[in-house]
Amino acid sequence: MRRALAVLVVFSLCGAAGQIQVHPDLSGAESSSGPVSIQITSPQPGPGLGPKVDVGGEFDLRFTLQLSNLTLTDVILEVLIYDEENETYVAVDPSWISEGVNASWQVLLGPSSTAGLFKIRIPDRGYYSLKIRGTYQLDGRPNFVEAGDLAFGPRIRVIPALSRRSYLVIVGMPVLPLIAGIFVRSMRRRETKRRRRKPEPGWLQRLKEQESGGEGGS
Amino acid sequence: MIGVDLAFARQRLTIGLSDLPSSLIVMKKELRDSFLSLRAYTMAMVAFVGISFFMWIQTEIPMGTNPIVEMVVALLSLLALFYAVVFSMDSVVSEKATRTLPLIKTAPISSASLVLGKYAAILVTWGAILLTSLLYFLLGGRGLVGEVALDKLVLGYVSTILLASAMSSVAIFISSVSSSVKSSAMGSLGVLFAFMGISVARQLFSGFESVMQILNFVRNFSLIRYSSMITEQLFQGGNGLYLGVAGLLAYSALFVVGAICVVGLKEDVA
Repeated sequence: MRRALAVLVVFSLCGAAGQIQVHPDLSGAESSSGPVSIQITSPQPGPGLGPKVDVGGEFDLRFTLQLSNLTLTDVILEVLIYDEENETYVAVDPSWISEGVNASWQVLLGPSSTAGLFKIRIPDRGYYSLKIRGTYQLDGRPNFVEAGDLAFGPRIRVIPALSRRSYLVIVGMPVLPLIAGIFVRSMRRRETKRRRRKPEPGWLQRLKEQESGGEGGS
Repeated sequence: MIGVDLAFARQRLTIGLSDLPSSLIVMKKELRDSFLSLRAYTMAMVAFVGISFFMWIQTEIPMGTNPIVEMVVALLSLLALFYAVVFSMDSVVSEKATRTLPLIKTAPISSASLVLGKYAAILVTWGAILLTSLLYFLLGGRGLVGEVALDKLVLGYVSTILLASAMSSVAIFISSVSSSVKSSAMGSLGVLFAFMGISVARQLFSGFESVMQILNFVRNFSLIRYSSMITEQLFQGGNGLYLGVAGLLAYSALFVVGAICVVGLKEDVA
């Protein structure tokens, strides 16, 4: 529900006006095919705006490498990220990747299917389109180095998780003026009642007594 | 004829400026009325419901922090227009309707101080709502608002005050020339929807050159155009900041002086 609202509001208010550019590929993941293929298995693209990750939180970019009847040497897999300014994919900051499992091989025999992962920690809020690129040599052909974009990952949303205080502010702020208004109104009412209950001044009481006394006399 | 009118306006303005303490008294009275009723609180609540909604949905969209400020400023600009109309449309005409204007005239308060006091009270109330809304950015935490560009936030807020000021002056002027609250409300809302209609029409008829020529000319009289100039420079790198500020200030000055003259004229006639 919230996702749908978010997409609707942002596209209608900002996107249509050309103020905020959103990558048209919302879910995005696709795998390669051929003798060397890789599929990103996690995070799953899912519906809506893409998988959500906490800022600075670690997540696994899991993949499966499938190799047909080939032998590869010096296989190195690396993670790339889409650079919107230069409109191309560039290697991610090495400090973002804390660990890589099955990300490089001296020799890889086929046919085989190997699962691996990169542990990634992105420090800044934003949309990130990741993909995995592999470089390798075909065994027996040392002068032939292949480099290919093996798999496109989903577009990941890196958003700070909301604290309880943030939720309190979202809910509490609209209620705040209402509470203040009701408080002021009740104060005012109390003040009015107090004024009404206040004993009459002495001169007025005396005047009333005189009048009542005068009436009684006549 | 024009010379006579200008002299009259200058005279009223001079009286108004020399009578500023009376304006303060009127402003205090208006503020008391506004804050002792639920009116100001309701307006604040409407504004905060909108901001909370925007803040809530933006937690799904990781577009950095400036879009959050931009969204809040855009929303507050829209609310400023409605706020100014709602609070100003009955400002002068209600004094006539409730027959308190003759009573006010018995006090040593000039027409200028009456109009300026009401106008200032509307802006102070809007300023109070804006100040309270800063709590979102102070208390919201990094998860809600991230690292906010304070300069853009403050300038965005100032632009909404200028917009409220300009729209309020127009509505007070309409209120001063109207004979009933109903006609004043219809006039003020009509002007507001006309301003909005120009923006909508420009989107609808963007392919029709001849219509666009007319709309672009008419747009020069719209408050929303000048407000957009300010926000465009703040968030999208335009260059119309000074023209936008000048346009809104000119609107405010022109219609406040107009309202002072009309109220003063009615006083003289009475």
